[in-house]
Amino acid sequence: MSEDAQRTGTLEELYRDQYRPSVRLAHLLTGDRGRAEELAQDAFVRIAPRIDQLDNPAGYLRTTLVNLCRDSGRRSKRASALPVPEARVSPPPPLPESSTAVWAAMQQLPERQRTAITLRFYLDLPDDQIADLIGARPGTVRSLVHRALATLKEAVPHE
Amino acid sequence: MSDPVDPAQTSDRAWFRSQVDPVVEAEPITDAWAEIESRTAGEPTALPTSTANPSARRWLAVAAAVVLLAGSAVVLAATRGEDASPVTSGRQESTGWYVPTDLPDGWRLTSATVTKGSPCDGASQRWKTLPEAAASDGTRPALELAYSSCESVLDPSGTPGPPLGAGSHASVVGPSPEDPSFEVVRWQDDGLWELTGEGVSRDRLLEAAQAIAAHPGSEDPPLPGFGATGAGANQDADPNGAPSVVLALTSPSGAEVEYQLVVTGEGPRLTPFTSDRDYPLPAQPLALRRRGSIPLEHFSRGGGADRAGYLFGTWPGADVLVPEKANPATNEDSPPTTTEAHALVDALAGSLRPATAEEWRAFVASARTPVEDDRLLTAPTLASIGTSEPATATTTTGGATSTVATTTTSAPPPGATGTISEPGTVRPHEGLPATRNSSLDGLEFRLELPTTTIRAGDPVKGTLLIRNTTDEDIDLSECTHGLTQWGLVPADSPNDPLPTRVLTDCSDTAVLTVPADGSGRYPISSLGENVFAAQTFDNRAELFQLGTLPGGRYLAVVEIPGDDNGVRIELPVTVPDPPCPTSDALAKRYLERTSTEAAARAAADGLGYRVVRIDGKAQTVEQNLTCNRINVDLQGGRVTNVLRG
Repeated sequence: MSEDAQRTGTLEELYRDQYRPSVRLAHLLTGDRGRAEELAQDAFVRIAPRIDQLDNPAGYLRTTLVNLCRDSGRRSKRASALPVPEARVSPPPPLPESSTAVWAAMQQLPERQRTAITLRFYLDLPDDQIADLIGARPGTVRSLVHRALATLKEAVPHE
Repeated sequence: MSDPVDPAQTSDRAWFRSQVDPVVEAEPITDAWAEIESRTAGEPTALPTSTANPSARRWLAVAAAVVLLAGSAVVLAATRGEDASPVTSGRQESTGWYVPTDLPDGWRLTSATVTKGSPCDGASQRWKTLPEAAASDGTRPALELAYSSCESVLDPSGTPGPPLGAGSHASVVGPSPEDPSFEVVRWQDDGLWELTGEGVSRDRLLEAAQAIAAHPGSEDPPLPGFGATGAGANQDADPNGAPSVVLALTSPSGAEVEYQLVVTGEGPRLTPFTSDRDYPLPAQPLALRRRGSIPLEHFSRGGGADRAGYLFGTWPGADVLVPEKANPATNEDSPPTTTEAHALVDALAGSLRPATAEEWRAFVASARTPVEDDRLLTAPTLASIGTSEPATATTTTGGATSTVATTTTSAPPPGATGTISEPGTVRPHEGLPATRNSSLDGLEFRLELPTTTIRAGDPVKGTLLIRNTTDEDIDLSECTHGLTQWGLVPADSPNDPLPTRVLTDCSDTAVLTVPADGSGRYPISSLGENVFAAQTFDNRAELFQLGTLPGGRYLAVVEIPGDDNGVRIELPVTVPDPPCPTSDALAKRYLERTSTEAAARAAADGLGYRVVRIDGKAQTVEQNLTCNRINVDLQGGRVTNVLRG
């Protein structure tokens, strides 16, 4: 088997394991499903050339994806003054009211809080690794998660 | 697997997942493999290979493996159901040391220093009332916002203010009697914020603070009717942060470029006023980002390149910063152009590679300016720098191994310039009294060393400080003087033997006279060998030094024999790990040979050879370091000392 074929095989295996989790992670981080798919694909494309040289391709993939999502968030923030484009996909199925409210609140969180709480409760990463990922101290991570959680819980409609 | 999740957060996690899972799982995910495959069909972009030595390449392989493990996952138990695919990988050990490799000839390390406090970014923005909104008297109230990513304690002198977002409370510092026009609001979240109002009421100031706290990255002025007038950025040091190591290098063109190491997570963080983007360098396999300060025009008009900042890598064991600047080191009239500076910074940043503790020490030891902070030569990892204190004490206490001296302790004699021990302790003689030795009663002995760091190949002279507390002169006999012994012993094994000086007749040794009620400074030995060397010894009359001592804590010990007792002085010292250890066996291969014989043997051994001292006189040699070379001392034409380096 050629090196290219071997690399493609490894990438495909990684894709089978990680593509869907990656899209969902990006969806949480960006709040945009379409963008999440693009970013997840970008992450695979970026990792592909070096996949054979990595001991932990899945870890590398996710770090790449988190960074792409954070960059994307910063870019979209700068472009927030532009008119909002029409939705290009059909609306998702109805969701529970509380989920809708929490989801909406997620999109309003500062980027670092949104990333921290996602990495903490969706990926179950420990504080020190989240700190490494977002360039903060573990104490700051705990603070970010705490504040994000408080904000999200406030968003739940009261009976 | 990863560290377990804190059980206290289990319910929060469950709640969070119950809220977000229905959303992210609401839509099916379409297959995208064909698109990814087509996009990756091009030529592979292999990780850059290094032309460095094999060990450097080995480190590269390790670095590639750990590059993002440090910043990412040990476990990424991604999701649930069919997607649950925990990926586990152990966090690999790293020293946190990084050294440049493969820089062109002419680069060299200028200095290596430890600075207190980790770097943190700061920024400021200013707004002023628009001209059309000026007060009737023409004054234009202003706001100035200062931000520091350092976490600091709020000034307790302020009046507690209202909450400014979740978990953040303001502290208002009221107008001072001297200048009632100013008022300050401070609050803290990821960093410390301080908003100063000039000619702005407290209510309006708090309103502005709340607007900023709610949207820290907003491009809008915090109050209507205000316009942006300026912005700035600065990098400060967090006094409570981990210490940083700053390495300054001089380029072949004479420009000075720095890089900085601080324990991972302690480096400056992204702030609302800094931009952050990928900054791939072909020569650097580890991820780099460029962090710049966002200029005011970026907010007000859009566009405008970010100002200079620094290249930044969150790498295994260290946050690495390479400031985007180059200072003229030799010719201040022709500073590097911006293009030149960027090229130098890129070259340095691209050359940095993980280093073992030994590689790090060898690198630091090559600095043109001698390293003053002992920790740089002894700390096994960057992280351990923060857990040790610099060895700068000037007076220390000797280890008490026996009874306290019978003499009255007092202040050290005047004129001392180095580190001085506590007075020596009395140790009874084993066996019969030494009748040719002097009584030591009434004398107080201390040891003075010019430094407490003793490096291999850098012998340190010691001086005895002797005080006579009696009203009569006291002579120290030839044998007391001549049979005095000294040397280094491990601090955790203080009873290890000292080098034994074989004297068949001590009559050639000088008699020392210590005047009544006086004191003086005396050589430890009249033989001119009163030095402490970080080497093992050959216990023969010639007292050859052999291989290097391993790094660690030692005691510089002097034992002075008296008639029916002796005195032992101890002074703790540090021996840094030698950058190029020398074995006893290697030293013995060369000792006592002529220079010609030794040079030929070195060539046969595949080692370089150079003479660094002839009959006690240091020779002019380049201060570089290579472990594939021996440095020899010649005495009377024969080799008396050998050290790799």
